[in-house]
Amino acid sequence: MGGPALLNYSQISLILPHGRAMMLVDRVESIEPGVSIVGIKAITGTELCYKDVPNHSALDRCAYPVSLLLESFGQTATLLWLRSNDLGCEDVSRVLMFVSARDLKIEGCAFPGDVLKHCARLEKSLHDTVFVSGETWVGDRRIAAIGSMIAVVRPRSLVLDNASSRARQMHIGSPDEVFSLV
Amino acid sequence: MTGIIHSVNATSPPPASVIDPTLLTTAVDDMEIAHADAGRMFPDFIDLGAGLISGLTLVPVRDFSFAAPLSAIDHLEVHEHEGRLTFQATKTITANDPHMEAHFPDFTIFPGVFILEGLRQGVISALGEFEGLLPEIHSVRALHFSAPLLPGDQMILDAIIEPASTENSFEVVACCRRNDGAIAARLKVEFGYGRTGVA
Repeated sequence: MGGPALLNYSQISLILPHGRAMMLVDRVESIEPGVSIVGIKAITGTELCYKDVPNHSALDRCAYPVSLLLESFGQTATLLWLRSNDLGCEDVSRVLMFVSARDLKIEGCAFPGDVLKHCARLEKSLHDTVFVSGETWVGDRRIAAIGSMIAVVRPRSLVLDNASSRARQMHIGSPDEVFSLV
Repeated sequence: MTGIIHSVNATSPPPASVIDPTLLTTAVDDMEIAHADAGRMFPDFIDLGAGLISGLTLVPVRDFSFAAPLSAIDHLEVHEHEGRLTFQATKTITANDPHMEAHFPDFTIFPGVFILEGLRQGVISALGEFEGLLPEIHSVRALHFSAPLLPGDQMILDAIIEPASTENSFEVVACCRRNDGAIAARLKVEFGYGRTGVA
């Protein structure tokens, strides 16, 4: 299934800071640094998000949650950023934080047994702000189109300093500088 | 006296008096259940509307048994104002959830996408099923995160459900605040009944 792994699960677990339950990329098939990435996420019925879904539930109740779908896409985009030299490849002193998104269209669903294929493109990067777009596929079905996802680069120390008040006061993105909303 | 008196063994003739011990037993049981429920250690609502509850509909957070990473809201209040439905969903952020423990192992922060999950669960609980289908996210028009939610924070999600714009589509505009007043997120999301792409 799929192409050879450019990054396997073990390698990804060394790169992403997430624990197992929230590490939502299983394999990376291709990366062109600064340009694009193809990330893979396999869905199974044993995942935690299905633990409260009773047996014999209707199929639509078993659809993979949109929230986790977007998180999985965002983690794929994070891997692209981390592997993009122009953006500070594997600079562990900085982290990428998801701050906004626009025009995300959910066109289909994924279910246990499906394999998500995230195709993310780096649109541009301005100073510490990264713009990504892309699509998510299940086989030959496109189930999501990501118009624009925006992340900012912040010092890791600022994010991890839970004990100080800086984290609580941290301004992770300005609504005005990114876009005006609602 | 106007109205009807239900009793166990009244001797007055109907319709002023109706002998109905079964109905009275049910009423007493309901009262006892309500009294016990109101005295729970963790009631659904505390000091609701400072006592001004006219026109308010209380909706328990309902369990429709769908796939979800976590229970993203604890309580829900639904209001109707000038033909528009609004709701306020709240959740106390805790670290003792497998997804939270994994986001991140060395520093717990509520994932931004879980605010979107909270909006989804609030809309589902407020509107319920229609012909066996749940309201689901069809598109995210805009989403912006501006402050983190950490364990111990309370998430307060205020949402306006706009009238349907198409036969099966309606927009929900929401603002998410922390209990210290900081705005954590703003969202504009299109919902519809049923999943796109599911026959």
